Amino acid sequence: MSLPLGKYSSFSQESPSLKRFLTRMHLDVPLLLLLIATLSAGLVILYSASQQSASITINQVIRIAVGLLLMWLIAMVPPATLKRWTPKIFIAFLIPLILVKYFGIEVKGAARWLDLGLFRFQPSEVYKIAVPMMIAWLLAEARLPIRISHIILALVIIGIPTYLVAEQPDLGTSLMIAISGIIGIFLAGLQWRLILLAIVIIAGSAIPIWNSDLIKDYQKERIKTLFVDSEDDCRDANYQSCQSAIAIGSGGVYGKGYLNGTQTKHGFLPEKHTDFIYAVVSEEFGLVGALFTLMLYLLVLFRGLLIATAAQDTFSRLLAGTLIFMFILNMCINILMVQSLLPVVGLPLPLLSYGGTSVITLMAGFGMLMSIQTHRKLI
Amino acid sequence: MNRLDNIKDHNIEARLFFHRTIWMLIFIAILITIIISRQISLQVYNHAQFVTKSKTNYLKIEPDPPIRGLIYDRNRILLVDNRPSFNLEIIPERVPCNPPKTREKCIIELLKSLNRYVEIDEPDYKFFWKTFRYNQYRHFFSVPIKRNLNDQEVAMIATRRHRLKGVDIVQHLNRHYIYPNSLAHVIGYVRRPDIEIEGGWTEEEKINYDGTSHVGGTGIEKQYEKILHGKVGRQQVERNVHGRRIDEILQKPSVPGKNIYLTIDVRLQNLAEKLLGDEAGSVIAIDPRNGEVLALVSKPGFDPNDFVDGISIKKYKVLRDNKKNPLSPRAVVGIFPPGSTIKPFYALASLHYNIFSAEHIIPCRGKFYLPGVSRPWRDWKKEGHGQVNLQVSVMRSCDVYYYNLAVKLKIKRISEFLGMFGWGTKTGIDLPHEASGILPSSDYKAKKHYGLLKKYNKFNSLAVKIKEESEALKKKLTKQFAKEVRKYYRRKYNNLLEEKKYSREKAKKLAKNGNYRTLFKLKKYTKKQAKVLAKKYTLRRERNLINRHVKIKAYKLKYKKLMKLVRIYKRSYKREAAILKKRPAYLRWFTGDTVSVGIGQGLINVTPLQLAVATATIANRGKMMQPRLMYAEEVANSKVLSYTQPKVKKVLSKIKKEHWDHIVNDMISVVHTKWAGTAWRIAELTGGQYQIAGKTGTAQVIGQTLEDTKKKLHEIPWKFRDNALFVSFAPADKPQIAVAIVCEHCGHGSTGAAPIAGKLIKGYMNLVNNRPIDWEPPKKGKKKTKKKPASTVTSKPVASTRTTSSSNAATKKTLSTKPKAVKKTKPSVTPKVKPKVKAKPKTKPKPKTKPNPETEETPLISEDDI
Repeated sequence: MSLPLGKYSSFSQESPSLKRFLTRMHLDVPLLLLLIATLSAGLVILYSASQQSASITINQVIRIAVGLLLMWLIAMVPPATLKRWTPKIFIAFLIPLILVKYFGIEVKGAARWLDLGLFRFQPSEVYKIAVPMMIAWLLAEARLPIRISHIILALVIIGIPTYLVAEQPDLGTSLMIAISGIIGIFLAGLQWRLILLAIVIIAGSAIPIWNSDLIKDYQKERIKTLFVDSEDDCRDANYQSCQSAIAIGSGGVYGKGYLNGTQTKHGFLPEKHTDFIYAVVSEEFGLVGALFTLMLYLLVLFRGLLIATAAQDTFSRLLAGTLIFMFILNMCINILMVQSLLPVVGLPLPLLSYGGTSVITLMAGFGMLMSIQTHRKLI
Repeated sequence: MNRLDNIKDHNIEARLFFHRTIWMLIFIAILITIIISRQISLQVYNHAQFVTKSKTNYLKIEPDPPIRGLIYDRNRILLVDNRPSFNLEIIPERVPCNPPKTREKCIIELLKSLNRYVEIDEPDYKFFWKTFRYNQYRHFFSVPIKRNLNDQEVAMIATRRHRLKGVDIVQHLNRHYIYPNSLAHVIGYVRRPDIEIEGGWTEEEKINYDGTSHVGGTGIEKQYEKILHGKVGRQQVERNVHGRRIDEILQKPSVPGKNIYLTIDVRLQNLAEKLLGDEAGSVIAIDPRNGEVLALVSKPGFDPNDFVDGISIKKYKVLRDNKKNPLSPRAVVGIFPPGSTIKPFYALASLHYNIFSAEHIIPCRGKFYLPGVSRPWRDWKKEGHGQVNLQVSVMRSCDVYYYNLAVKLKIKRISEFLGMFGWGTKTGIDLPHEASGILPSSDYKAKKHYGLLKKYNKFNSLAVKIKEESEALKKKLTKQFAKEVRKYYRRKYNNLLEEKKYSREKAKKLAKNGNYRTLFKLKKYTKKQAKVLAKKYTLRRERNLINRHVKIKAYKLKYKKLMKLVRIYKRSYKREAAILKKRPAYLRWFTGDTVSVGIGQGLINVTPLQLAVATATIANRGKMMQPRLMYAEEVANSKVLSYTQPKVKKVLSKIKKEHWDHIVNDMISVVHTKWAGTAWRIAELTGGQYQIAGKTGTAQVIGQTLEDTKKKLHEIPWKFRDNALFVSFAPADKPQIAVAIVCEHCGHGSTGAAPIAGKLIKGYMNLVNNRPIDWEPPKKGKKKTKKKPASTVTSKPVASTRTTSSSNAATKKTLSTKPKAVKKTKPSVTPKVKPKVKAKPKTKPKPKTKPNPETEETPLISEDDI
């Protein structure tokens, strides 16, 4: 059955010679342009957010360059090969994930990085891609809609890295890994009654989990602050979200102007160049800037969805869908967190936040999207 | 669905995926909607509120404390200065520190390395940690570790600043007292403000002290706090999250405190301080014409600079334990029996009430008997002074004359007359905490008794109140106790429940009653549980735990404290009540009391200042000027001075002028009658340029026997020696200075106090004549001038004595030529004049400063009250 969106999927082939060249290099032009636009905007913001630190900005430029290179390399690998490699990648990277618990570099009480001499490597980030790949691989073999046995298998696949990452502890990433897997299962056509059942079970177990030791005290504090009126004092548990709300709110419609955000430049905004960079955008460019940023993300989403729906096999489709929804969900969660509507979990804003591994993983993901798009056989 | 299971249909899969994508899109759309609406709510609807919040984040309004006004003396000599001082401070946030170490550890290390360059005292160290903990949420606040660095220390630190990160040298203006000892009790000192303690302050006044480091603690600094302090300013400062100043916008500058000028002449003040030497006592010099206090010395003094930043306990202990009590500004708060210095006032009263005329002669045989009392009141001179008239009585300080006079005057008139001179009431000088002294009156004892009664009633009601309070507390505590117990058990049952030792119902029931007996029973029932429980929480341990928790924390502390108070009050009540029961007669005023008061002993006490003011009033012939220390203050924003206008407190117009003149003459004779006047030795200090009118006084501080009086001064323990007093003014005809001296335990007034006054007056006269203060007239001239007036006046004394009561013109003459008058009267009344000025303590029978019912002497008097 032909899909209504299908006709857009081939427009890149009708473009002029440069585009044709890029397509031959397995690069999807609209996606590439959108990414470059967003990344450049990110660099501009980063310069202000890092309190005009040139070294941080240049670091980020280097990482973006490495990311783009990796994206291109992956884009040249056909989806079929990717599919073949999937289980190997998944299992191979379990080793550093386990090792990191014992040999990792500890920062703020969490061991997340492995020191490889040349650079630091965060194994958990790999699983943001490896899990969607593995789910797609698993469910592509199965007939859809999926059966219980496959669901259980999928849950195991999700569970192992989620647990290992949560042990580091890195709640944000482990949550994202779990969500990515669940999105994969959902897109593969999980039955609604099972979904309902899952919701009921989760709701039912919420209170016992709250009371158990699974959630740390500081995490509880952060969640509690959402329900407490945090208007008056920015202190202790709600300091971060309170300050970021002030940053956003004081931005107004047009913002305070580039490099003029008082919350940013006087350092009241915590983690301003990493997790809370969205607050910097909102403070300095106001509502206009924030909506523009959202628009960029939504454009990326739509391009990604086009690629996903146009994909020709189940693996590609599931992988592309999962990756692009992950990307957008990641963004939503980060922004909701910055807007102090969600508890603060360490989760960067994709494409804008400073941070090497995050950029590289993202670009790898986009590389897969491009590979899926450019390796289609014309029917 | 089952049918589809076996077929892998790509179209169906694609459609399924498409549907799921739509669902996901809907979900994302919801999230985006939430995000956008939240964004709009924050940035559009609540924009204003967040703008304010962000401003309060980085814009701080900070106080700009004013500079305290300076204090000068009347000749514009600086007395109190604001000097820059350097403090060593630590900004905890800037101390380099890596995460595994706590900030405190890092600071301890820093302090260790600091200690190599600067010595840090223990109290400084303690103060640092106290302040540090107080500011634990504001680590960018700099905390002082050492004050008043010397230049060397400043250099030491400054050159090593790169190595000592987080250390800063901060410059402050500190109050500096230039004349520490002599002016300590006048100017007082500033101390650190403690807003909690400043009871009477309004909110506005508290705000005015934002950022102020010092507030007037005593003396002038306290009295004129409002003038000296100025008004606080406000400035808006842009600060980053670490508290560093980015920029500042001065909005409202502070108004510096005004400079003030005191009436004190610091040269005279220092001279007076020097003259007193090591003795304790006070010297007061007043300009009788306008009430300006020229010198106000209380000795021993202390160094007020020690108090500016808080005195160390060690130093304070030394001051506090000194038997001479250096911390007491005795010139205004010390109360002393006036001794014989009261006699001119009685003499005046005698003339005023017409008790004895000036010529009335009373034989003085060294003893005075009240009818019906066997024990005599002795004169200071055992053999008496012979036939004594009013003038001689003053000149020779004859006690017997005044015993007679006091009895005739009666206490009512004494009290009324002395009251006119301001005795028993505060003089109203501009110093805090002035004492009012004791003015004797017939109802004084009763009043005192009434005061005691009031106190008992207060104690009693307090005791009742505390008892009620404590009982209420007890009740509350028992309630709280029960609550705690219940809480404790609930927690325990929850634990038990978790350990699955009880069923849920049982545990619930237990938790509800909170009754450990039930637990006990339960324990009995199931052996296994009992064993486990017994191991884990023994009952006794439980009870102890609760006891410790509730009883010690609240009950013991609060209740016991209150009960202790009750006990103390009750005990004191009992003691006072017992005294009252024993001696009801104690409350009545006896003639014996009046006799004592007649020579300024017993139930009469004045402050040196009151004495000075009363003397100045005599000097002024009845015009009492308000004594004051404020000479002038600067008009705001200019160097122009606005002088304080002299104020006439009252005019004793009822007393006739010739009476005043007579008394002044008598007082002149005290100084200028060679050999006979009690203070004749100081006459030579005048160099004949002017005349001093004065009166000596020797006040006993303890009852003395006849043998005691024969002892020499140094043989008596210091604290039992007599107080030496002297009141005087000069020049006698046109007084410019009135001096009152109380020298504690200095022996006789003529030797202990009079020379001080003589030298002080001489110094003042030198100053008035624009000569250096220690200028000496040529020696030859001195002798001559002294003799001259004496010889020239010989013809006049008769006239003076005769005319005192009748004509004004005559009195004027006597005024100018007093020495002669004195000389003549002296030989006529007391033929033999020996120089017996040396240390003759008076010998009164009951010279106790306070009437003590338990000693043997009082009953003697009380036997025959009139």
